[in-house]
Amino acid sequence: MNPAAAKPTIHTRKKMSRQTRQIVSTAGALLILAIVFTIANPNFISSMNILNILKQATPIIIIAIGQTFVLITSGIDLSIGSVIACSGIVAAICMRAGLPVWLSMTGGLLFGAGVGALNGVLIVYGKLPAFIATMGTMTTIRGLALFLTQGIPIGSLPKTFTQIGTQRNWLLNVPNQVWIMFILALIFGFILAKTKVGRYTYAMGSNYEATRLSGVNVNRTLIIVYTISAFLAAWAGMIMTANVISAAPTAGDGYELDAVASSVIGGASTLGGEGIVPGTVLGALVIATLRNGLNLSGASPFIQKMIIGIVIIGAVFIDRFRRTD
Amino acid sequence: MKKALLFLVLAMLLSICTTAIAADSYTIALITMDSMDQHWLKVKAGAEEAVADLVAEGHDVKLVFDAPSTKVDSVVQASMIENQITNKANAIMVAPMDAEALAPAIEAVYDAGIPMILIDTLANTKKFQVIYQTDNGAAARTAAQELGKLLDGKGKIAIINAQAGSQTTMTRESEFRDELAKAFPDIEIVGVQYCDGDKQRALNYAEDFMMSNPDLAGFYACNEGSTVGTGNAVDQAGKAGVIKVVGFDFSDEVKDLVERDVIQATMVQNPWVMGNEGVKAAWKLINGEKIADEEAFVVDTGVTVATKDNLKDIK
Amino acid sequence: MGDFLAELIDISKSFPGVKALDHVNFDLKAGEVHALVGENGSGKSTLMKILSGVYTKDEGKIIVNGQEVEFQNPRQAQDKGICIIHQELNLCRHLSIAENIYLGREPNRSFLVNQKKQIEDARKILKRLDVDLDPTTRVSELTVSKQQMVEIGKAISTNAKIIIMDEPTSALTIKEIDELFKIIHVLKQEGHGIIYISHRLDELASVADRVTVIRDGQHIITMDYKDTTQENIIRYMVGRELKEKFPRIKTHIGETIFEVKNLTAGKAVKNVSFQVREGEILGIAGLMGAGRTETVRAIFGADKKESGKLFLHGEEIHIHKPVDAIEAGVFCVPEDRKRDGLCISMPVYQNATLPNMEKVTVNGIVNTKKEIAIAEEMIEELTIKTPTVSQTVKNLSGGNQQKVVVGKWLVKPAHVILFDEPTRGIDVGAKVDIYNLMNDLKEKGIGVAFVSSELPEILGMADRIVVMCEGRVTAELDASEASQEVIMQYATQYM
Repeated sequence: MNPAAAKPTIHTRKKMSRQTRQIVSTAGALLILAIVFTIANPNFISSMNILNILKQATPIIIIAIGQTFVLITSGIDLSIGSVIACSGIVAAICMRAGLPVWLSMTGGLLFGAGVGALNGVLIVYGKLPAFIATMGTMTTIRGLALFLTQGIPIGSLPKTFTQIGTQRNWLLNVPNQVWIMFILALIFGFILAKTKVGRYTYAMGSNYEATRLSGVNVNRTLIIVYTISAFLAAWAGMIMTANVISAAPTAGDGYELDAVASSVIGGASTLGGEGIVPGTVLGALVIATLRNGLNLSGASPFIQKMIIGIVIIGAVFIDRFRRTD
Repeated sequence: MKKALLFLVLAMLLSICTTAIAADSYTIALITMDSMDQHWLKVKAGAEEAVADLVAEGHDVKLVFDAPSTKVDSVVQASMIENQITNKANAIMVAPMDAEALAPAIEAVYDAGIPMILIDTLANTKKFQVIYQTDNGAAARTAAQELGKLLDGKGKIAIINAQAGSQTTMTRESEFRDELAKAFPDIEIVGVQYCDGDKQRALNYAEDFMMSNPDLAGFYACNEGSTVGTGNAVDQAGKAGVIKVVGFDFSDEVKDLVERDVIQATMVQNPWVMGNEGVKAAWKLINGEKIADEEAFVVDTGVTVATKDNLKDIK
Repeated sequence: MGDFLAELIDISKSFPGVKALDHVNFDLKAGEVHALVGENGSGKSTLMKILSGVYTKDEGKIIVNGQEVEFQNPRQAQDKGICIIHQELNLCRHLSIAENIYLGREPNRSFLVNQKKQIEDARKILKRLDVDLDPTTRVSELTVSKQQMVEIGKAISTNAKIIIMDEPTSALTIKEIDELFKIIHVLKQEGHGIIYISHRLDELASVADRVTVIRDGQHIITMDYKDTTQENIIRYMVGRELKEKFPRIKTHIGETIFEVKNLTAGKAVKNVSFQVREGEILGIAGLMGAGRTETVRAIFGADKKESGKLFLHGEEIHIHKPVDAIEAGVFCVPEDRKRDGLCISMPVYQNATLPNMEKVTVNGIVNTKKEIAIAEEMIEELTIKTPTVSQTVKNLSGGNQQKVVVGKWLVKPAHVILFDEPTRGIDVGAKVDIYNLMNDLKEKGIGVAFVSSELPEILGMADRIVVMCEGRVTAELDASEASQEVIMQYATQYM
């Protein structure tokens, strides 16, 4: 029975699409947080702190965009955290070997993309569930990171490289990494919303078999999606390495789950078919704002973890509730 | 089936490779928590040098090194210890990754009459001859003294710790707090955050502390990751030298930050001494000598306070 | 006929913005089969969900066994002896028949399940239904129809007096339907009341005592079946007279468009050959499991083929995966539209353009305006009822969903379209629309072949009929020489 088909008028009344509603509600949550934290500590709303939040959210936003692609296909990418570490290490090794910064970064990014393509191949041709395939690469790549560095972080990186993280830009005094994040979000937001690859990504998540039977090259699309995810993780790896001027083999541990949480708060569904880049960006900002705001208001770190967990559950719960109307 | 067979053969080959070494007349085994971390590599280096000294004196001694590949499974480490009992090692040095889970394996060594030397961390048993460890409490008290002096006994500080669940890092925090409260009552601790050793997270937390407390005067960071992250945050905020940082542990990055006066002092453990002294003790015990009158004797290998002035001498 | 087992009086139910039921009345007597019919979207499922406690009513009264009741959840309805047997069966496939019948109500002897008693009780119930099954058999080994009987057994083991059957015959063969009707007869004799929901109006003759028609959420009429005719019921359902159930047209039969030669695929398709000619509709008949769906899937490249050749206009084509078929102009409308045909959570226009992205993209970038234009054209051409092209397909009725599945192929130039059960589970009006569409294609010279389990449909629409049994073609008949009996004879040739 479908009430919707019976009376068309109702849908013309609801002008706002689901995407728009998702963006508005997540942005609303962000606004409420901002108000509460400003009351708790007026420093919160200073331009300096807002830049801090943006900076702190940057790596998570970048990987969460990739994770959103994967979640939409109803997959999951657990290897993100390891790719962050290992791509940073690959770039650092190249730089220490005397290669120019841009070439070293290209090396690190290509390494990341390669791991993503491998994930895709394992899933498509190896017929492994995404959870298992990326869990395998997660451990393998973490091991590779430890092996390449023998457990010792690589420091003393060239200044031109570390500038991509922290150097403040002539534009609005915003750190470079935030601009990088912004550009990546625009590019991949566009890919997801406006290109064939993006459309196929949604279609596969909505119904894989129907998409295949519609003549879509589902194998290639899946590999592209996992490559995008790991490529973005490699970008996060570059930025994090530049931030702390150290490529550590233990970096990024557990970040994949922050990425999932951001995507989900931003409206993605782990069951696939749903999720948008602007939502994910806002979702990551919600988490970063929450952390920053709780830090500033001096909340116990243990209680912070509890609050963030509750917020994740709450966000999804409210979303579910809203959708069943 | 074929694949399973292949794995079996590979596994057997590997185990043959690792056990074939145990043919010397005297074998000292060293089992650490993992084989990657710089800390353990220094323990190993110290042990190797002590063995080399013994060999130079004409003794027929060999060091066998083993460790789980990552810090994951205490069961794996326990079985490594049991393997050394089976291989009839003449003395065994262990850095137990879990005080509770490894106690039975350590007792088994002692009960088998093999000299048992602990490195770095205690286990829940008294059945060993001697332990070489950093007294984390003492080191934390030293750190408190250093930071207190740097701040002239007043101001606000924040703590960036590593893991909330780890005995070692929690001791570094609590003893620091106690000592500070006693010696420098005018210093206020505004908060603590746990970064799990992740440098980016440590950086974020340090930024937030500086934001919420514009008059913050100092940071205390409890391990290598926390120290590097905190140092970079202070540096990037342009507060190098203004906000004092006392850290823990040592690496190229820490060294770099100390050189640039972002970090004023860092507590450097002496893992090299642990390994070196451990082997010397093992040799004494093999030859029937005593280390101390009592069993389960504790030796503090101490910390060196690394500052810009003594940076050259740090190993 | 005794008293009323259940009465639904003046039931109303609204969903946000839509009145799904508007003061509907319905009742059920002991020992009768009361058929509830209406097009998709008419409100009949909503009504049954209210009776079985899935939804709560906004207005009206529910009276069960003379007592007024309020159901907050399905459990409460079950406790009052109301049981619903869904289209999709709800059995644990890995458990035995007896375990399924007593799932959650196992006879206890202290903590252990009393296996013996459970099996004995289950045997008694199966006997009551006159079903010859061993209660220790695993459900996964049973055919769909037998599984349905287990569901019925489960229902009567709970002493359910009111049994709601929702499209019980949609997946059954003629023989199995007969068996089901025998069981329904037994249930009637025992004094159960059965509410029977079906799209197959021809079945009602052999089973229904009374018929209630619902349209657009309103009660239209309740009548004794013996006083009415199928045509009458259809008229009440659609609110207008349908000229013909099967609007067959005659065209000139031309060249062979498409030929399948000696196709073998998997275990289900063995050496199948047939042709599709210009100006005719080819019907593919057979029982469930005869290999018809598998044949269509193998041709389309959805599954692997072992051997066999395909010819399009006399030239051999090679199809290894769906893309190859689509490029050749051979399309497939799958059997299960929700599983294989639609991205159900995506809007109509995105479903329409999914196989046609090359038409709406430049350098991989999608032109949404173009997409919407294509979809709007499709909606108009196929009379798809949807408020906008941005509506998610989930919210469309079955018939309109099916039109979207068909429509997405019509954007491209087609040579052959293979329909697999094109009218399953859709209402009468939409069925006729689909038939007309097949006629259009036939007139345009596009090859049309369709698989159907409904013999009247095969006989009514196909110009030529291929009958399959156990993966083989057992007969090729001209429409003029075919009848239900002849087809059944060939469909059961190897059985």
